[in-house]
Amino acid sequence: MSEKLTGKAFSDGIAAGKVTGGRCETCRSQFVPPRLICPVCGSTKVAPVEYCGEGVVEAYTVNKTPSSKFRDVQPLVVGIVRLREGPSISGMIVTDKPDEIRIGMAVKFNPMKRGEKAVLAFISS
Amino acid sequence: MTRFHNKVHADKTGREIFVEAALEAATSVDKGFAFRDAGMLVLGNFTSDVFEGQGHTAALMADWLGINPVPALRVEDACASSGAALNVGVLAIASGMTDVAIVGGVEKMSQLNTEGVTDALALAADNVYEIPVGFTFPSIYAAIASAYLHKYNARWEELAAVTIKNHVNGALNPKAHFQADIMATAKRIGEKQGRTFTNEMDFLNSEFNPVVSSPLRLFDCCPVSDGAAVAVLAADDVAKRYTDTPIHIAGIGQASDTIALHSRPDITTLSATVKAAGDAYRMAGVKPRDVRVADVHDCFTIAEVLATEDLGFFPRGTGGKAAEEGRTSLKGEVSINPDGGLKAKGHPVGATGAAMAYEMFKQLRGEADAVQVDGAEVGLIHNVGAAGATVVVQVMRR
Repeated sequence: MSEKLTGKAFSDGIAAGKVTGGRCETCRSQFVPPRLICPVCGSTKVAPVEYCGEGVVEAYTVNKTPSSKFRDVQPLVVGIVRLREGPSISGMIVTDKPDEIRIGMAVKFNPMKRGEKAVLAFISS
Repeated sequence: MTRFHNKVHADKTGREIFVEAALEAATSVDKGFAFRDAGMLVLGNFTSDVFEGQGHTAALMADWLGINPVPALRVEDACASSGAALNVGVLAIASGMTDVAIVGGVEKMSQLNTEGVTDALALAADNVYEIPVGFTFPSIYAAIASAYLHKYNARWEELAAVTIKNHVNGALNPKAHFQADIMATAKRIGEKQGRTFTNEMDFLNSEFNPVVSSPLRLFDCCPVSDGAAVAVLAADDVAKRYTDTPIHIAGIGQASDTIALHSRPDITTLSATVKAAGDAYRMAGVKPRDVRVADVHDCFTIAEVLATEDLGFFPRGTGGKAAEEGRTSLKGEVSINPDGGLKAKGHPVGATGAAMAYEMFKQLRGEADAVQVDGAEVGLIHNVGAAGATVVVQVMRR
């Protein structure tokens, strides 16, 4: 197993300020997070890639009923961001002005430190 | 099936709720049925492990029905568990392994508080890449709603039309969790709070319908309920032993999709619904326009809108409008969720698919009383696991 195609590599990348994923050498699909088998064509010829971290909001919600782990994040906006390279990923959207978020809005990756861990998060760009 | 409710089963365990549903199923069989007639038990159950601290629930139910050593199998496909169990029962009979199977579902959820239930349901989402960024189950469907409303320039009021319609139906269903339409609910709350509401939307736009996860509000979400439902399946040539008016499972389908919403090319459709329904329609030899009545998986209002489009009843982007125009009501061209749906009937997750089969059995036999849909010859049931990572469809006919 390529160590760069694991969940640990992905979360280590987030903590280090990088969004990583995989690129299929057979069908050229790109995906995030990394995985060993291409979800599009089934090829196992997958290479690790690093994304630029820029993208646009594809869907979002202001979560008013978060789990206890996220009570301290106000407002808690979560969404799906389509990265410039093509694939989409779930992330927090950090903002003081949730009313100003729009689908199609440009955002960039900006991990949020939470204790030992880093949460995949974006800010307006 | 038992009533679906958050209080009436408070003092019972999951097994007792299941036995209650099974006893009703057995005693309702026209020519009589003994549990020991069954050669297999298939149970849909999502996570009694978390809700009740009880695993190994299929063998447990077989034990409590007194049918050991009949093989008992638990199916876990999140909220689609008993829809999937129904398909497994069909396959068991089709294989020739048995002629008669007991298929059911159960979930006892109410002993956990809302937060505990939210955490338990989150197990059905991607617990590595979705939940850790702040998603919850309602917020995943809320993200779908945001994309849908944006793509089709649709209005939240179209979603609210689903709420209003399903509560109208639920008010007529003695098994439903909520047996009050929105105006009756508004009146009850208004009397307590010294407020009057002029119509349903006046209430649904008020602070008594708070945002859960934008754009979804409280009345866009199904409640937390306890309950169970049980069906008896028999091979075609054996069914006449039990009844002269069996309901046929004419087509089945099941499909999977990515667990995480973000991995899908388009989140304004559940592609697993399209696939599962296509397979079920083909097997049954029917088209969407042949379906007069359907129970679809409306865990959130947006889910019913997507379902009515993905099942082929309405073009994309028009499902909400169709609900608003009454085209999915009891008298509409295709009656959706005559039993009140998950929204008003309740959603004990593992029991929902079996409860849909219960409703469709009654509809197609013309025994659905106050919610009977005229001309119900072909019906469809549609059970979704999580945000469409599992979808199960059955087409049923008289």
